[in-house]
Amino acid sequence: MTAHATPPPFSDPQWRQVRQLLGALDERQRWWLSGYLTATGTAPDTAAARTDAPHPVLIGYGTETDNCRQLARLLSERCGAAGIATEVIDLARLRPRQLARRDHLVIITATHGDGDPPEPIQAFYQGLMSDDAPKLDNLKFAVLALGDSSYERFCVTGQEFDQRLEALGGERLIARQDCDVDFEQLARDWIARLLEALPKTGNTDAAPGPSPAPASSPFRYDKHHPLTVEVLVNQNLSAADRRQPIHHLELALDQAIPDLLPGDAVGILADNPPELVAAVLDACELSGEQPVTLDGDAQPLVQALRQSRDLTIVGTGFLTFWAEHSNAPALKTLCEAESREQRAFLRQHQLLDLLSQYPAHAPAQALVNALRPLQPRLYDVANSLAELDDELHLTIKAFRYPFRERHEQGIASRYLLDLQPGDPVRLYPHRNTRFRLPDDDAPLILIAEGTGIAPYRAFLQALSQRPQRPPCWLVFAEQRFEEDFLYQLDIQQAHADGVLEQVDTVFYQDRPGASLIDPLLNQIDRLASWIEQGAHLYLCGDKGRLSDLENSLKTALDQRQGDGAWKQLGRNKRLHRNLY
Amino acid sequence: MSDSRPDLSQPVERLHENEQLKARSRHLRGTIAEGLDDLLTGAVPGEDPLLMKFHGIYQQDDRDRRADRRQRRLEPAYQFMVRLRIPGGVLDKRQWQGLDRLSRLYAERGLRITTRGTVQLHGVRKSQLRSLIQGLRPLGLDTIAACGDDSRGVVCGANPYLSKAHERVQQLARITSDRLIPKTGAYADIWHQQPTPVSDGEEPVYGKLYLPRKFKVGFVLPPVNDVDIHGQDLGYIAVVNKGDLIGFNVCVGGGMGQLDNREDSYPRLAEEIGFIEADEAPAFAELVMSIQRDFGDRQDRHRARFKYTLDRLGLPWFLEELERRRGRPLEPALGVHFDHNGDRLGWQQGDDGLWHATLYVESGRVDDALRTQLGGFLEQYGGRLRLTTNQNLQLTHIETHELEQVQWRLEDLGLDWRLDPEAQAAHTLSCVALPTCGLAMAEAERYLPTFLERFQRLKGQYGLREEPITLRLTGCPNGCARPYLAEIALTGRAPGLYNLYLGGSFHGDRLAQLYAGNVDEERFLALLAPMFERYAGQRRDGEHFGDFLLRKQLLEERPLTSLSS
Repeated sequence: MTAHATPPPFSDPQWRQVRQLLGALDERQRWWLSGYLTATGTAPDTAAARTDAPHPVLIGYGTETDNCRQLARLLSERCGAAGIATEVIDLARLRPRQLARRDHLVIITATHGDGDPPEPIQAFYQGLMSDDAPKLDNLKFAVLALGDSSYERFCVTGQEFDQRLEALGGERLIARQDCDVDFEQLARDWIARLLEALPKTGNTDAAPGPSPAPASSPFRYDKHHPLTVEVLVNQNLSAADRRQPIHHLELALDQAIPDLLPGDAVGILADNPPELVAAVLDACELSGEQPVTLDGDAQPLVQALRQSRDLTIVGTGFLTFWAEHSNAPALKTLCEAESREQRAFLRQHQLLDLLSQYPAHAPAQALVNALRPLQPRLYDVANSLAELDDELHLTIKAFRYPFRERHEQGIASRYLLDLQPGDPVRLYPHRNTRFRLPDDDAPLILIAEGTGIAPYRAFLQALSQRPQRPPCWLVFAEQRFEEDFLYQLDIQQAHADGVLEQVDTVFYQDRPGASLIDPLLNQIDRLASWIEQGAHLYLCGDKGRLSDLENSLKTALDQRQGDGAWKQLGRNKRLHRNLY
Repeated sequence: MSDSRPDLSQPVERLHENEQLKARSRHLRGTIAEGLDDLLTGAVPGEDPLLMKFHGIYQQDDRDRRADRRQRRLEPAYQFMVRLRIPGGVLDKRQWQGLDRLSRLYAERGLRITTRGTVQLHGVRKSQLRSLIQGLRPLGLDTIAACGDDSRGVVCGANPYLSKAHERVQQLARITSDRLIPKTGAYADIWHQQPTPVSDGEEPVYGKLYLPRKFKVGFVLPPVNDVDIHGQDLGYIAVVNKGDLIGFNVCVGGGMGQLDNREDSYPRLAEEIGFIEADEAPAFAELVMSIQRDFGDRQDRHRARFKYTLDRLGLPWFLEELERRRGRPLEPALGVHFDHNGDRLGWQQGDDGLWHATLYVESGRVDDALRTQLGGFLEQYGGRLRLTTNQNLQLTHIETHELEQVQWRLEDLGLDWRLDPEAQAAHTLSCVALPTCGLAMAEAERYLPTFLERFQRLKGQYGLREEPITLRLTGCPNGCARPYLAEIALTGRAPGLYNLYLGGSFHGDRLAQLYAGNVDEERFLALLAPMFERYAGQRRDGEHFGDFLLRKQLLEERPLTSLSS
C-alpha cells in the first residue's frame, strides 16, 4: 500500500511507528517485508474493496462556449438528487486511457465550426480516435451532442465519440441526442431519460470510491532487474529554437512501483545511439551479430554495446587493453606513465577518438569485457503516483557539453529526448529518502531552477490531496516567461487551488542580471519568519548555481538571525538538497 | 416590447452579469492594477479583461499557437490589443513619430489603422502595457473608451474640397468625444499610477453601469460618405452653405453587428430624424446617449445596442422623449446627398488652397517596412496627418509650393504608388481576425491579398478589373469592417467558409442581403462569375454592381446551398 493513496487504516501513533520502522529499513529489507506480507496473506483484499465501491459516473464535457459545462453540472446536480454518484471533468483534462478503469461515462460535447472538436479537447479527441485508444469493454456510455445546424457537419464531434465508444467495446446506455443552438429542452429531456438508465447507489451524498491500492509486487526492481515500460507521450516543453530543449515524458506504468514517493527518482538505462554503436563496430572491424556473454547472458555484440557498455568514457583498464591490441608505442608509453598522466589523456579522448587514432583489432568478447558498464542516469519523478498510479512523468533537459573542438550530447538525455510513443524504456526506482515532504504540516519553501521543478510537481500533486495543507512557497527560475515557464498550467492550478500560497519567478533572459536568489533576498523577512515557523527548505536543480544560492542565503540568514541559523536548519533535517 | 422592462429601472441583480460587473467595478477599476502585477500569468485574471476594454485594451491570445502551447503545458500566448482614442483620426507629425517609436518598443506587426480612423497596436505584453500607455501621455493621446460599453471613438469624415467646414466639424468631433468619454479616475489610477480614490460623483453622466453596449458617434461631410454614417448609433451629416457649416442633419440607430444564430439580430441603417445647429452637436450627443443609457436593454446584451432600443420602443416614442429632454422639437432635416463611401486616393486641393494626399494602406496595416518609409518621409514634412475610416492615411495641409517636393519624396521612398493603386484596393476593407481576434471564425486580413488577387482575376475575365466594387471581408458576423453596407461582403463562419452578402449600395446607404451561406472561395467565384458576365454586358452607364443586382432582380433566386444545409 502507498502512504498517501488513502488515509492509512492506523491510529496516528501506530502510523508514526510504521513510518519510523519503514524509514529505518534499507531497500532490501523493505522488499523482503513487502513479499512477506503478501505471502502471509495479511494484505487487504483489494479486489473485494473495488467491487464494493463502484466508480462514480464520469461526466466529461467538451466546450468552448461553456454551454456543455453548464449542462454537465446540471446533469451532475440531477444525479446527486437521484442518488447517483458523479464526477464532472473537462475532457481537456481527461486521457482516454483513464476510461479503461471506468464503468459509466457521459460525454456532453459541442462541435466547433464545421465539424471540429472544441479546441481544448483536441488531445482527448485525437487520443480516443487513434489506434492506441484503450478497449472499453466494461464501459457503459451516453453522448449528448450540441451543434449548429447551419453547418453541414452538424454535431459531428458528438457523433464521432458515440460511434467510437461503441467501437471500442462500450455499451450505449441511451441513444445519442443531437441538439441545435436551441438545445435547452432537448437536453433536459435527454437528461431525464438518462437518469433512468444510470445505476443508483442510494446514497445522495456519494463520494468518489477509493482508488484500488496497487498490488504488491514480489519482484525487486533494480538496475540489474529493470522494469520495462512504454512511452506514452514525449512532449517538447520548450520553444522550437531552444538549443537545449526540455521535454516532458510520460511513461505507462502497467505494474505499480510500490512506495515510490514524491521526491523519489528513477534510474534510466539508456541505450547508446545507434550511430555510435555502428562507429565502434566499424572502427574495430567487428560484426554486431557475433555472440558475446555478459553477466552470464549470451547476446549479440551489438546488443551488449548498445545497452550495456559505456561507449563514451574510457577507463584506464581499457587503455591498457587497447595498448596491447594496437601495439601503438604512444599508448604503451602512456600505460607505463603515472596514472595522473593517463587520466589527463583520457579527459581528452573519448572511446572513438582512441579507436580511430590507434586502430586495432580485438576479439568481441575481450572488447566487451574491457569496456566500462554503461551507468544508469537518475531522473526525478515529476508526478505523484498516489494521484495517478499508472503513469510516470519525467522532465528531461538536453545535455550538451563541449569536448575538445566539438560538442557532445549526453547519452541519456539524447536517448530520452528521441523516444517515440510506444518505445520501451528500462528503468528502476531510486529512493531519495532525504528529499521527501515532511509528515507534519510544516511550511515548505521550494526553490528550483529549470528541471529542478520536476519533484515539486509531484509534491504539489500530493499536497493537493491532503486535508491540511501546509503553506507552500515556490521560487522558480528559467530563461523566458513566455516560452520556458515549465509546467505553467500546473503551477497556476496549484496556486488557484490554494496549494501554493506564493510563487516567485525569475526569468533570466527577460531581466538580464536577475538571479534566482533575488526574490528570497527581497523578502528576507518573510523567509526568516517562515523558517522560524519551522519551514522546510528545498533546493533542486543545477548544483553550481544552487550551491552559490545556498551560500548567499546562509550569509543573509545568519546575519539576520544570528550565526548558526542556517546550520540549525540542516541539523533539524529541514534543509533538503537535490542537486545535479 | 417584452413584459419585463430590461432597462436601468431594474435592480442590478436582475440585469445581465456584465451590468453587475460594472456595478461592482468601482468605476472601472476592478482588480486590474493587481492583475498587472500577477507574474504567474501573461493574462489579466478573472473578469478584469471586460473592464480593460473601457480603457481601450483587449486581452487576446495568438490562436495559431494555442494547441501547441497547451501541449507544452503553457497558458495561451496572451497579448493585448491597445486601441487609441483619436477623434476624427487627426494627428500631427510629432504624434505619429511618437506612435512609431512606441509601436517599435512595445507592439508587434507595426500599427494598424482601423475602420474607425484610429490606431491599434497589437501584440503588447502585459508587462509593457503601463509603459505604453504612459508613453502615449506626452503625445496628448489616450485610449479611454476605445472599447467597452461607452461612447467609442468619434469618427469624422473629410471632404477635402470643404477644408474650412471640415476644420469646424473636426473640432466638434473632438469636443463631442471629450464630452462623451467616461470621467472615472480609474484610468489615471491604474495606468498613470496616480492614486485617485473612488468617489460617487466620478461619472455624472454614465453612473455606475455605463451604457448597455457600445455607442458610436460619427460626423460626415457630404457628398463623401467615407465614415458610413448610416452605420453609426448617432450620425451628424454636415449641412454646408457656401463653404460654411450651418448645422447637421441627425440620424440615429445604425449598427452593423449581428449574430448568425439569432433571428432577432440584424444590421440596421440609421434614419434621419431632423436638423440641429452646429454648436449643439456635443450636448445633443450626450442627450441621445443618455436616452440609450436609460432605456437600452440591460438583460440581453445582443439586444442592447441603440438600434434595438429604437425598434423596441419605436421612433415616435424616441422623438417624444428627445423633445421632452431637449425642451423643443427638432427642425426638419435639410436636403443632402452622398456620392460614395470610399476614399478619394491621390491629390486633392481644398477650398483653402492647401493640398491633401491620400495614401492607400492595405487593411490599414502599417507594417514594419511602411512604418520605416513613413518615418523617413516625415523627417522633412511640414503638414499634418489624418487616418481615414477606410483605413488609409492622409497627408494634409500641404502648401502649394511644397507640393512638388512632397511628390518627389513620395517617389524616392517608393510611396507614390499608394496615391494611385488599383481602383478595387481603395474599395476593399478587412478586419484583423486570426490569429489574435478571439471572435474570428475564419481568416480575413491575412487572407485578403490572395483573395483580392483571385477576385481581381475574375473581374478581369469580364473586363471589370478597373471597375471598383465595394468589397469587405470579415472573420465573423460582428461587422468590424462594416460588411453589411458593401456591394459584396463575406463574413466568416468557419475556417475557409463564409456567408456571402450581396447588393449593398456603392454609397453605403442600403444593406446587403444574405445570398448564400457557408461558401468557400471556389464557390464564391463560381457564384460571382455569371453575375459579372451579365453586369459587364447589361449594365447602364455608371451603374454600380450592387444597384445592377437589384435592378435585374438577380438576388431574388438564391442558390441551393442556403443556410439550412
